[in-house]
Amino acid sequence: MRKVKNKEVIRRLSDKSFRINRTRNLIAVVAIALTSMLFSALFSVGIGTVYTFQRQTARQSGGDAHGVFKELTQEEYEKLKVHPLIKESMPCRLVADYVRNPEFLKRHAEAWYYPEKAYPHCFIDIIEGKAPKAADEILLDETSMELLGLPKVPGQKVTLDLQLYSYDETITERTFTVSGVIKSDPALDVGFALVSEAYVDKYAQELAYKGQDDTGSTIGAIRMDVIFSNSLGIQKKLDQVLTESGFSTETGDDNYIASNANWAYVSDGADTDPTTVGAVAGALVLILITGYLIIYNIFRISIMKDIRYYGLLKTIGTTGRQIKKIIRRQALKLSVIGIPIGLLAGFFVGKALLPAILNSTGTVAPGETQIPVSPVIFIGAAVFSLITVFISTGHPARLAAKVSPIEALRFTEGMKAKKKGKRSSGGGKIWRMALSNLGRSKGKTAIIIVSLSLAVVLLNSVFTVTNSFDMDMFLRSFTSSDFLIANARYFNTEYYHGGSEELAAEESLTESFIEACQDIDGFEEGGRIYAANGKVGVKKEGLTIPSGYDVNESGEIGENYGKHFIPIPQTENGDYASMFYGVEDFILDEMKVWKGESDVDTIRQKLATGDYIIYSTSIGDKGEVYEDKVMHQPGDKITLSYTDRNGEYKEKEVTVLSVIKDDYWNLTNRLSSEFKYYVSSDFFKEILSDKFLMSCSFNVEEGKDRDVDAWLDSYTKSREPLMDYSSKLQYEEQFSSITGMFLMVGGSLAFVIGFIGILNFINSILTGIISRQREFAMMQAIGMTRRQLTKLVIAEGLYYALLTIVFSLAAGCMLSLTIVRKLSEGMWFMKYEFVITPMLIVFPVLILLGVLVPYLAFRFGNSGSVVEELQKVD
Amino acid sequence: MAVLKTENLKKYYGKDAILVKALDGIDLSVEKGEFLSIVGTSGSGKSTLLHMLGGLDRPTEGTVYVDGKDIFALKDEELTIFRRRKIGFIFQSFNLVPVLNVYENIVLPIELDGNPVDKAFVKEVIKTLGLSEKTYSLPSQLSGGQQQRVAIARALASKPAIILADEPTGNLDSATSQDVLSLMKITSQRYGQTMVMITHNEGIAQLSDRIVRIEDGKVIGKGGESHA
Repeated sequence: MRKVKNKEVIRRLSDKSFRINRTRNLIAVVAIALTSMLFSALFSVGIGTVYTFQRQTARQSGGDAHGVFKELTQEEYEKLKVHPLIKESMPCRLVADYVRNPEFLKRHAEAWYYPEKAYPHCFIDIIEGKAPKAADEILLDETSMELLGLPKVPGQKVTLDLQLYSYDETITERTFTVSGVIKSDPALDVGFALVSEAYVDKYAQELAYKGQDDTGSTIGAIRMDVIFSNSLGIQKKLDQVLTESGFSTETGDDNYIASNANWAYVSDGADTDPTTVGAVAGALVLILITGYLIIYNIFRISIMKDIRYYGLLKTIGTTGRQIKKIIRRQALKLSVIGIPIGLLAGFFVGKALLPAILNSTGTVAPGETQIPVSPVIFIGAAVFSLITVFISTGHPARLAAKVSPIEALRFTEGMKAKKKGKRSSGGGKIWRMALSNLGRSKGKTAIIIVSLSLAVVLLNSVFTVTNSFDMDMFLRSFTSSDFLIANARYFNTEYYHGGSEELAAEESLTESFIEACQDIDGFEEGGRIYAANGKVGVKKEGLTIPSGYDVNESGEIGENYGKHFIPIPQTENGDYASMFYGVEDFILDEMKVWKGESDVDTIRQKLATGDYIIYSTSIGDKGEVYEDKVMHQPGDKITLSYTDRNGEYKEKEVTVLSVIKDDYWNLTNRLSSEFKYYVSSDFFKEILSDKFLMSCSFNVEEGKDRDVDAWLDSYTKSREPLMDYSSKLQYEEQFSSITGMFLMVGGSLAFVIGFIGILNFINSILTGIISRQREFAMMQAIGMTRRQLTKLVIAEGLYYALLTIVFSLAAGCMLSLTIVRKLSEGMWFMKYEFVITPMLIVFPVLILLGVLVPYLAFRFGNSGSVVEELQKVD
Repeated sequence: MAVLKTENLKKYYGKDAILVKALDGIDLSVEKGEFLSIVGTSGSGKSTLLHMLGGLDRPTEGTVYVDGKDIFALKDEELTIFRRRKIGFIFQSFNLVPVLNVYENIVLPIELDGNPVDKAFVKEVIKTLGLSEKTYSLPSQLSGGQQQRVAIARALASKPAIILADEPTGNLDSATSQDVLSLMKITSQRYGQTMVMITHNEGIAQLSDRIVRIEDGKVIGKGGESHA
């Protein structure tokens, strides 16, 4: 076919017929705007999440540098920094292994040297003052200053209790002047004291790092943050720098240097997670369908209304392709108006939703969420919106293009309402007529019903999923009892070691705290846990080490961690060291038995004899047991070795009664061990000591938890500041913020989709009434009263509502029992329950809408006199 | 040579007991420059015949030749293009595009074809039809007679081989009808166009060169073959 220059006339035809379709345009613009709002909100939240996590990760990993070489000596650093791939390198050093000021017990602080150019990369934001210059000047974060009881202004004198070497408990007191105050990073609950270059020079001796040795001290070691020209293939570049500088990337080699890419730039993690990808794809499809349902219907109705017009165009020689172009152009015009509005609205909706979504995961502090004004959001959402518009208008456009000119000249939507039948049946006839009116355009009716049902079903699904969050299941994993009290160190990163009786004094729970708790009004019962690390050994003879462990060259058994082979720790006698717990009866109730004896009373009786122990085995995130690492099976006999209270070496054969699953949060000191045993507290005290008091769990009377929580909060602040606690209440709050997030996101989605459904409904009723003005006039002419006509349109609306109810009830139940059920069992703390109450609540609203919308549309839409309407010619 | 010719043209609707034979074997031949009337009562099949002649609808059987070409051998899209180049339509209900003004309506088929408008010719046609003063009015601002004159102008503007008119005066009063009809006759003669008109009004039919009568989908008596 030759190319014809008819663009101009197509444009004119399109634009002119565009203008006469005002109502359609308005509703279509709103629909398109809503659709693109949903897309852009989804994109905003998605990109905002990635961005926030990236910033967050960057903060937690210490900065936004591309990668890092770890624990370098000065010499190694000098060698590496000249490599041509490196654009910028920043040597950061830890200047003391610990800062031991008692004020930093609950929120520990680190002392570092950062070169000034590293500040912006490490999120060091000086609020007041300046960078340290002299050896006795430091930067300190505001929270640390607060903890020290100082005003947050430069010039303050601060004495830091530095424990230079982790293996040497000597405290070196150094007094500094605060040269500047830096912002505390809520993403990182750690204080920072940053010293000057002069300090590094002055104490060069003590900071001279000689490479890794047995002490584990990393004072003076250089953490070299590097920046490359771009963030692609960071680990590859790091490896290249290492090998080309003469170092090894193989763990275990002498010249091995540890390096890693900043996690913040490792985007593969989130991208390949199938659940996330599935959820996002699902949301995209859902929005697309929602948008399709309404935009399609709007265009279909509008084209059906104008079908004679298109037929006429065809008669005088407009080709189908030209008609399609006319409609496409109108769709494009509506998109040009609707999409930008939707994009902006969606961006702000996303901005409002993101904090709720992220905060509920518990990992992002309020105020830390950020959505970058990224073109990807707008371009992506716009593209998807356009795709939706084009898919939705495709079929109506084809319909108009295919219309046979002859049929169009005769066309009325479906058949004319039948006016036959008996006069006498009165009201019943109107109902039947209404039903057959719905049947005139089955497609239109179906779409309205589907789009309304979609909202109802979605709402119900959201509630079902939210309802399936089982708080008890959630809490059971974190706390089996209402409260858990322990030394603040236990909750801090130092945990509880239980290494020696002397040290235990500093990390143990005090009996005074327990007594104070027992005196609280509402205290029910509780139980102590004692823990000793390496005090009790397990004889190697007769032990079979399962296949999950590694063996090194010298035949030692342990596990490989990066550069190092960590053998299973041993006692002085060469036996395997165990993590040995003594528990009071109350604690036994909390144990989750995997294999062996599970009756609590039997366990209690047998443990009391001292001839039985319980072995606890490691589990994964979902509670699955690592079968290849289970050391003992129930019934296994093992020999324990220990030095008793009188200093006498003893051995005792015991039987493994049951194997339980690790309960990290409640029953352990939060340090790993291959041999974790539980015995009765009496037996524990008998062979070891009552000094190793790790924690105490207890329950309170119903309804007293809030009071007790408040009491504990004030007690641990004022009376025994070295003690701390965790409570069910804290986890409950976390739980409700997760469910709240689901409700909010799902609820708003259901709301928007419901809104679209109602819009669709209004649009069809309204256009239906407007396009049937002549028909109504004719009905009136042949003797139908206005009252009867009103009744007719209301009956039609009611049928829509009833059909929607039937359809959504069926679809909702089916979906609930299949997909929603799967979703509701998706997370470990969820329990599916069949719910239809939300639907039942929505149904009356639907019926009300079914009556009200047609009634109002008819009242305000039908104003001309019968004669006027009849005389109107197209 | 016949510019328009049908052979055994049949159009059936429905089937079995309710089979309606709208056209039942029509053979018709129209010479170039002829003004032909097709007369028949309501339901005789005359409108269906006109639709077939114009390629608006496809027959059950038989063929229609325009300028010797079997138009139903064309695909829908090609047929539409063929139609806007070779055939001009005039309808009882005018069928003007309400959103376009008189001039735009007249030149629409030409523009749809992407051809340059022969402005002088269009202007002449407008003048002949007495529409000069209404050139930029919208259809709704015109009387029925004026609207039909616009439709005639539109049919003429692309200089089609054949003009098909379906009860062109059906919606007009008798005085206006006479007016419009004589204009049709004058223009068809002046521009040498072939015109086929259907009507149920014998008086109006008398104005044409030849009359063909149709009843129950069949041509009655002679008249199917052209005199020439």
